[in-house]
Amino acid sequence: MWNTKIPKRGSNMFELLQYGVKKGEELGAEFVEVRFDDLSIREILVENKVVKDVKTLRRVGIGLHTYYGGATGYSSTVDLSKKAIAGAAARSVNIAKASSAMVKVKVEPGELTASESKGQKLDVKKHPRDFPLQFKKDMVLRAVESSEEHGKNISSTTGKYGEIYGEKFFFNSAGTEISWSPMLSHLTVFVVSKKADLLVIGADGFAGSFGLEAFDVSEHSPEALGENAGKWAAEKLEAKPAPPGKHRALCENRLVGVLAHESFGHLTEADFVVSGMSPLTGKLGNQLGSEKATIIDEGTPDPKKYNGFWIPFDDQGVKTNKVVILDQGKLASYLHSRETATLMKGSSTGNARAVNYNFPPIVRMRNTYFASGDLSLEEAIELLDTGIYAIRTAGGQANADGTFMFKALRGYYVERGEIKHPLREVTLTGSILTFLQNVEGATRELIIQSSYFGGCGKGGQFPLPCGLGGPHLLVRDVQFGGEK
Amino acid sequence: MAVDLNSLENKLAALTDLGVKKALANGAEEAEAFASYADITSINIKTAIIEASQGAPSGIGIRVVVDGKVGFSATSGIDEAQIGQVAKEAVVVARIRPLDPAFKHLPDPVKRSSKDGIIDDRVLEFSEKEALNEVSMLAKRTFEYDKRIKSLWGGVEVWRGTFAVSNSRGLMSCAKGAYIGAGIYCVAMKNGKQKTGSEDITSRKLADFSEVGTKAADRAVKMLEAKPLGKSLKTPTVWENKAIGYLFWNMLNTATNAQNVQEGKSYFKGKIGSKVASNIITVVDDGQLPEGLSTQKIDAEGVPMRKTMLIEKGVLKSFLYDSYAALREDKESTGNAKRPTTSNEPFLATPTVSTTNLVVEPGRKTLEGLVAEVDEGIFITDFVMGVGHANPITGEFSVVAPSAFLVEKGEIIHPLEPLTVAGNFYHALKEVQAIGCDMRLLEIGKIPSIVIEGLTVSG
Repeated sequence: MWNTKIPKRGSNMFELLQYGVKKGEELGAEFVEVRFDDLSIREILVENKVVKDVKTLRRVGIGLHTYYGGATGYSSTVDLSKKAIAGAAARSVNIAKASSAMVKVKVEPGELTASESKGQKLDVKKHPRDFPLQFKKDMVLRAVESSEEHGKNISSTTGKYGEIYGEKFFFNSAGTEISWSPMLSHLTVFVVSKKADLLVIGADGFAGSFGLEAFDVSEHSPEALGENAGKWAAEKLEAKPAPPGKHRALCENRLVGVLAHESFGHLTEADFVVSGMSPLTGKLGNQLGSEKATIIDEGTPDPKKYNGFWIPFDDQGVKTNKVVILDQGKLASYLHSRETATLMKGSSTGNARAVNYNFPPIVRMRNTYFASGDLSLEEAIELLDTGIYAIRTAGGQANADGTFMFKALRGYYVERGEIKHPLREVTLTGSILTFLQNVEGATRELIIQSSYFGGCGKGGQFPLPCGLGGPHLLVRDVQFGGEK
Repeated sequence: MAVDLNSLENKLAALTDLGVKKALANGAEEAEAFASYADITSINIKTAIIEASQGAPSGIGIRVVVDGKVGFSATSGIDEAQIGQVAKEAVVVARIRPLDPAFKHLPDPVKRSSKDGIIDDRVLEFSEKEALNEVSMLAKRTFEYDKRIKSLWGGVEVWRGTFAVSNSRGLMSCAKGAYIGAGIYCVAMKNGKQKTGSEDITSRKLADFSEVGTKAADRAVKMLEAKPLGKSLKTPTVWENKAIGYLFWNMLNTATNAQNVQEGKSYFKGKIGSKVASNIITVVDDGQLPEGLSTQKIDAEGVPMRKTMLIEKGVLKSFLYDSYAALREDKESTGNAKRPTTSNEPFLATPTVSTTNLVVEPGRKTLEGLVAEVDEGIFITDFVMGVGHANPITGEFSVVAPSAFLVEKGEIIHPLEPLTVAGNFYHALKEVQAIGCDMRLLEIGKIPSIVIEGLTVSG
């Protein structure tokens, strides 16, 4: 039934993909994209210093996306024989043909210039592939032990390590040949401290498209991450709840990143827009936010400076552009796949991504972040004057109409430019459009971070690694404590 | 071309047997291999754009015991070399795991007769072209229902699959199934106001989907005249079956899980034989319900599925077990092992305890009849949001109901702007006042509409 002997990489793989393209074309497809994914996943879960779970998984398969008469079809196979690929090509074309009889609006592949880029990969010193599970387990234990050392009244600790790496190959009818190696490592520590009936959490983590040497830097070492998680939980034991109501707020880098992605970014995904679901439909060029608010979605933020998820090409072989979606408050662009771009008479922004070969590529974000401004952090706190400094996130929810509820992981009450005391239960609610209008300033530094745990989910495709971030944003009239 | 599940089943069984042998050869004391294959055709529509795909996620996962420690590894696709590699990795993983004193051994073969659910040849034979036709009709009916319907997302999915599991204690078994589902989520617009409605059907038998689009559209259009409730109060709530299903499952799936009970994470701990719900509530977990969407001959570790009484006339009767939780108490597994994953790739996960089909015993009244009995209250329809943020250990929840209506003297007065509904689910179970006769088949089981008192609504 299966023949998943994985062919040798390099030219052999392109030959196999080219064979898929040829078969699709022979069956009448006007354009064919074939991609091969080989992704390995490692996960270690440590609860209260006991290794609770270890996962080692591998997904290897091929997906064929074909265009016919204004419609597309997709089929995938884990069988890498020529026979199976020909079969998948036939199913893909058949679906596209059947769809074409029904489509009311025609999609096209768009721009068709061939490009070649083989073997792109990041230059890392300690590739996670080369290190045994034991090494990573020890990293998690070091972090957890450090959290216990620096915490107080700890009721439980959780440490997690996750990584994904592998190779992706792409070939299409235009002759584009691409291969690259995605990579992501993530270490995170989560501490619960308890005093009487009060349970509080502290957490820290570090993730990005980097080698394990990133955790050798003292600031991001397992010990430092553990120390922060322990310390921040302990600090919250003495914290007061955030005073409910509207406050001027200083929102930290990762918190604004989540807002940029969850609350605004999704609304700019062109499949939501073109189907009329997004409240941003027809608003291109409109001034939606203040001039201090700029949001960017980018494939390859400089890996030397930032810790995003590195994506040089999307899953339709399009080089990932740097897209300014909100330009000084003005809605400047939607995010496009080849299909949505032709429907909206634009060009693909390289945002077509698939979580693995089981799925066709759909419009997804890459690294989404607010652009930095000109304030120093000290100036921002001074300008905040009296209000709430909200840091990172501990979950939340964003709705399709732009309303959101996010819990900050921690926060401080600031009075006349001075940090006074820590807060717990810092919940921000509101509408992203109001939030954007109320942005008063941004700091100079820019942090982008990705995540192995808790990627993005859409259309059944989860978890897709993304990056997010920004500077600190100074925002007036943020509603706190909206949660019941 | 029909999917031949029988021959796939045999091939998978042979592969799991090979997996077990390779694991033992790599030094495992015990080994289990699980292989699955799912042929999936999925046609989505986004207003006018059609996204059509077909695929067959498949692969193998191997669980081993080495020096009493458990390890697991998995891969998509299956060939001999890869199975050997996975077996080897599982042994490596076991070596870095701690000894779990609660783990006794893999399940022994269980002799208990059980069956797969209904398999409809029309579903096995359902073609991509037919699926496309259905999608096109769904969209057409939704838009034609009312010109205020502006956009929709929806689709049809046909799922045909099988899995096999073998272990070194002599267990070898397989299961198979086939389903078809259709759903629509749509937006109605009037004077800049947007309201949503949804409807879906998933079935083992080829079903009539002609009402799906019109029902979704009707739900959306009805909400256009919504007014705010403007207050916060404790009041009776009538929950349409579809609206309560997922909340009901989220809570009971956690509370009835024997492993959660053992680890102190279940609200029902120590409550067997006690009253946990109103007298009118009887709930079974039925892994043998012929039409049930979770019905299988065996669970994810090869134990035959069965029917387990959970709550009888309000009294808690039993918890649900996989072999790990059962052996901890020297009991028999209730056949409730499941491998939870996304992407239809169960081979990627180890088994945990999960409900199969939760079935609530119906009452006598229709949904209209339930509403007619409410003097003052809220009628919650369609779906609620935020169930994932509820706390199933304590029962605390706060959900948003975008499709609710004000009820006075048994009459629906007007639709309401999104309402927050909050309370404690386990307290609410004791406050169930009435149960409908309108059993609805959902992915989580078969549930009627119910009336609950004592929840707080605000909006």
